[in-house]
Amino acid sequence: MNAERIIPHLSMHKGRDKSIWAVGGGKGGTGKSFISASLAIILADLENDVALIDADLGGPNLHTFLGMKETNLDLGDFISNKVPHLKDTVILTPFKGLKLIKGTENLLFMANLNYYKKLKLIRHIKTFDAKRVIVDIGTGASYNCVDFFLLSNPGILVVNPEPTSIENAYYFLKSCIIRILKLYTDFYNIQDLVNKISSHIKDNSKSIYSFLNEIISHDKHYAHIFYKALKKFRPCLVINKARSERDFLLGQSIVDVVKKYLVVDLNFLGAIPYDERVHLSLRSMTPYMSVYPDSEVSHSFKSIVNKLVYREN
Amino acid sequence: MKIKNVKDMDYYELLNISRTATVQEIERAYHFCKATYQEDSIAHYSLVSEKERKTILDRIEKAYQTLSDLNKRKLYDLKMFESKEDYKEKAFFRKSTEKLVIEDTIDKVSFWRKLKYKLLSPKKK
Repeated sequence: MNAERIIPHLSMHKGRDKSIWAVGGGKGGTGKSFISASLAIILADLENDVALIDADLGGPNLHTFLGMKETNLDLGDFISNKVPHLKDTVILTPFKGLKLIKGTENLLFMANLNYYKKLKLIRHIKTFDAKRVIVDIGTGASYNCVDFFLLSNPGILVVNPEPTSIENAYYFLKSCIIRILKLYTDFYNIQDLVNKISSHIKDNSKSIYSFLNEIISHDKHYAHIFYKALKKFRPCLVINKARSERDFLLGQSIVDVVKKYLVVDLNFLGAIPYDERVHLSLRSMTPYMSVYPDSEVSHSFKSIVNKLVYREN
Repeated sequence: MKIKNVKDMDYYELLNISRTATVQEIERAYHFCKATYQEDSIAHYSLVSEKERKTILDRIEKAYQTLSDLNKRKLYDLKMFESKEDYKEKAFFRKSTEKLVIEDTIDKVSFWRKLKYKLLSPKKK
């Protein structure tokens, strides 16, 4: 029995035909939407069939990064059943081959996104008719954010070279790990085993390693399943707003720390240099990538897109 | 099956290098790891406690002292991997010369052929 095929939250789409990338990272203001928009613009130019979904439930503004203002339909219309399909909310962007599903500003939307509505949204995202789907997920490490991150392949973690951003990113990764373990625990119906082990782990050693090693001593079969599930979770990392050489090297260091202390293998895609013009382009409502296609920032994005596409092929 | 935490990792795993790493690779990995876990690095912020940070830095230092010294490295490899399952000896025995190491293995085909011949051939009276 293959758990990934049955658990809807988990990613089961690989390869050239279809892929979902999600951009997240815990902290607000790290540049998730800017990165989502820029990746989508470059990818649309390359492959001509890209959908960008603004799933930032707290404060959607992806459309602004594309230089767009008001739209008739948004994600809220699909969630509230005003339209039957996610594709009905698609709007065209000024970029060839790039479609957008705008986030909703309806405050009630968040309260309305219950478990079944979330599953419905996940199902529609997974079957969305586009070669690449990029999902911009919101700030924080709630189940909603984590689930959108887990369904993607890969999830892209955006971190700024600041302690607060790194702290939130680690918290986000830990939430993802706990969520994966919980999904598998529920699937195999082994809550009792996990509860028993959790209570045995002493307070000073509550790490992922202690937990897994405790499971090994109780049941090797399930330990192997958990370990494999965590190893399959291979998020990517982007450092945004890098200002110094040290900031550029930070990504590889984070990869090392996460591997040693959280079991997870991160894939460092690269660092985006800090550029004041990002702010200026936003103020003038003109997409940065259109105005500065040959800047260092644009070249960094192109390199990241190439790595992501190569990773899939 | 054992999931290794930092304390259980061998020096190669700790520095994230292969067992055949060159001196330059060891040096590079050492400086990178040291920079990652030094006090003013933000890479470990909030995830690694001060005690854990000091422990890993100590181990990184020991790993470098051992692996950068050819004799210490040989002894360490022997102690760590000689009797383990995943350590496969390449050579049946080794002959060392001043300049190069020659690895000699038994020619398995000829060995079995000889054995077969010995078993099948009629014994001389």
